[in-house]
Amino acid sequence: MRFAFGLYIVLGIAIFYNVFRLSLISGIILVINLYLMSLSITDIEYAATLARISLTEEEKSLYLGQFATILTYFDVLSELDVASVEPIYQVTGQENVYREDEVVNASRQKDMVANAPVSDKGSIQVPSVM
Amino acid sequence: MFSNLTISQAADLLASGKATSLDLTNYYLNRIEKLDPEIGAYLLVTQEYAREKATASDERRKTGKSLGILDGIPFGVKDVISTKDIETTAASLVLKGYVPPYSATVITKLEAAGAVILGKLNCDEFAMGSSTENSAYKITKNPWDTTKVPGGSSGGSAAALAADLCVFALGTDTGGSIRQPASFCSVTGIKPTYGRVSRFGALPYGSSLDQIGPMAKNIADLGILLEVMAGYDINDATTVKHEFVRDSETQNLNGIKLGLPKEYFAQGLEPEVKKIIDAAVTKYKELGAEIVPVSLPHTRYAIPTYYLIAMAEMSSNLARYDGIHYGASVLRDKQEQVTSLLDVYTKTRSQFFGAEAKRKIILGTFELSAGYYDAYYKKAQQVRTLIKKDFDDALEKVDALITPVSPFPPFGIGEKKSDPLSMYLADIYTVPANLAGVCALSLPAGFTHDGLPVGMQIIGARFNEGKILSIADVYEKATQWHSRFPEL
Repeated sequence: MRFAFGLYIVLGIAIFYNVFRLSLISGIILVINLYLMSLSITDIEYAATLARISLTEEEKSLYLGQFATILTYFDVLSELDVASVEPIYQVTGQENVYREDEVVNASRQKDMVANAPVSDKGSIQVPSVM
Repeated sequence: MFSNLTISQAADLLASGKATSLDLTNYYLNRIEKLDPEIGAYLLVTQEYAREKATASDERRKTGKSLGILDGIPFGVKDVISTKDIETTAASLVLKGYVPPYSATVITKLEAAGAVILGKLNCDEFAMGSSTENSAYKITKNPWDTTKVPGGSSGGSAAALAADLCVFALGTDTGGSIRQPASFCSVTGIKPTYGRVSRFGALPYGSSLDQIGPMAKNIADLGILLEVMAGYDINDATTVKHEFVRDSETQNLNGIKLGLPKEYFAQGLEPEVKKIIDAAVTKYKELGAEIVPVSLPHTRYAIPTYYLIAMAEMSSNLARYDGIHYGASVLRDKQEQVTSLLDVYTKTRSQFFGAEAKRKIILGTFELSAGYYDAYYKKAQQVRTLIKKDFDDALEKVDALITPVSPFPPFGIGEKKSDPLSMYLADIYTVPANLAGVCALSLPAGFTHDGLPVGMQIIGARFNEGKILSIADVYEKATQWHSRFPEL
C-alpha cells in the first residue's frame, strides 16, 4: 500500500508539472484522488483493450490523471440515495416499437460494399479471425 | 442585395423574380471562397452539386412548379449528417473518404422541398465537444472575434450563419451542441423534443439524447424548417406521430408565465452574462409575461449524469468504426502488417480516432465494464429520472423556462483544450434539457462589453416547440439583437 502511494505521488507530480500545469494544491488533490479511487494504469489498459484501442505510455498516464479528476467529480452522485428510483432509458413513453422485417436495401448492395477496404464479388473480405 | 438573408427574405426575392436560386447559390459560393479560408466553417463545398440543384429549382419555378418556401434556398449541413454521394466524415479521420450510400431523412425531406446543399460544415469529431477544436481537419473561428471559438459541437454551422455563408444550417444537439454555438455566434437554433425529428442518417453519439435541429438567422426560420424536418419516420423508432404546427404570431405575452430556475443563476455564472439575461427577463416583463421563480433541485447532478450516459452510449456507438465496413482502415495501407481481424480493429481505431474520442470511448467502456455498471451507468440513469421529474414539475407551473445558454461568453481558441473537465462544466445549462428530453432553443440576447455575443435559452415542455418559438419571436422582434452581424 505504501509503495503504491509512493508511485501515485511520483505520477501525480509528473502530471502536475508536465501535463496539467495545475497549481500545487490541485496537484496534491489529484494525488489524493488517485489514491482514494484506487484507479490504476491496469484499469486504463483493461478498458482500452475492451474498446480495441492501444495506448502509448504517455497516453496511459495522461488518461489516468484526467480520468481520476473526472470520476472524482462525478462522485457527487453518491450524495443521492436512488435505491428506490427507477432508471430511465427514454423520455417520451414509447415502448417496443415494431416494424416489418423487410429487405429494402438490396438494390444498394454495390454502393454499400464500395466503401469497404477489401471486397470481392459483392462481399466484404476480412483477415482471419484467429 | 443578398446580405444576411433570412429564409422568408430569400424566398421573397425568388418569388418576385428579383433573383434566381443560381444567383443566390453563386453569392454564397463566392462568399465562401472569399471568407471561409479565414473562418473555416466548411469542410467540403459542393459547388457543382449546388449549382445543379439551384438550376433545377429555377427551372421548376419558371414552369410554375415551385415546391414552396424552401425551394432554391441554399444551406449548409453539419458533417455528422449523411448526404448521399457527398463525403461525410463527422470531422473524424476514421471516416475520411466515406461516401454514404443514402441520405439522412432530414436531408431527403429538405431536398424534396427544394433546398440546395452548399456543403458540409465543421464540428467536433463525432459531435463531441463544446468548441469545434476537436475536429480532425480544421479550427473554426468565431466570426465576431477570430481569436475565439465558435462554440460546439455545431460550431461550423453557427459560424457559417454569422459570417453569412448560407441561409440556414443543420446542427445536432446531444448536450447543447446546437444551442451553445448559436449563443456564441449570435444566431438562433433549436433542439427539438426527443423524438420530434428523425435521426436516421445522423452518425450517432448518445442515442438516448441526440436530436437534429435547425439553425438560422431568426426565430421564424426555425419554425419554417421544423415544419419540414419534423415527423414520424419508420427508420427511427424513437420518432413520434405528434404533428408540429407553428403557433400564430403574437405581439405580447399577456398571460404567459416564464420560470427562472434559481440554480441557473447561482455561482459560476459570469456577471456580464447574468446582467444580459437579467435585462432580457426585464424585457419579458415589459412585454407582458409574468416572471415566476422556480427550482430544478437536481441541477448540480446534471453534468456527471449527462457525461456518464453520453460516454457509455458513445463508446457503444463508436464500436462500429472497425476498419472493415467503411471509412479509414489499416487494410488500405499496403505497408501495414496485419495479422488478424482483431489487429485491424485495434490498429485502425488507435490510429484514426482523435484524442477526445479515445478518451470518451475508454471512459465509457470503463464505466460499462463488469463491476462498474451499477455504480456509474445505472446510477446515472436513476438520477436522470429525478432530473426529468424536476422539469416535469417546473413546466407544469409555467409555460417556459428562461436561462443562460453558457456560463460565459465565447472563450479563446486553445484556452480550455488541455483541461477536459472544465470544458465539460461549460455545458451545465444545456445538458439538462437533453436528459429530460424537453425542447429548448437559443436566441441572441445581447453583447458583452468586448462585443462578444451572449444568447438566452428558452426551455419548453415536450412537444411544445410552437410555444417556445412564439415566446422567443416576441422578444426577438422587440429587441432586434438578431439583426446585428459581424463586420468581415
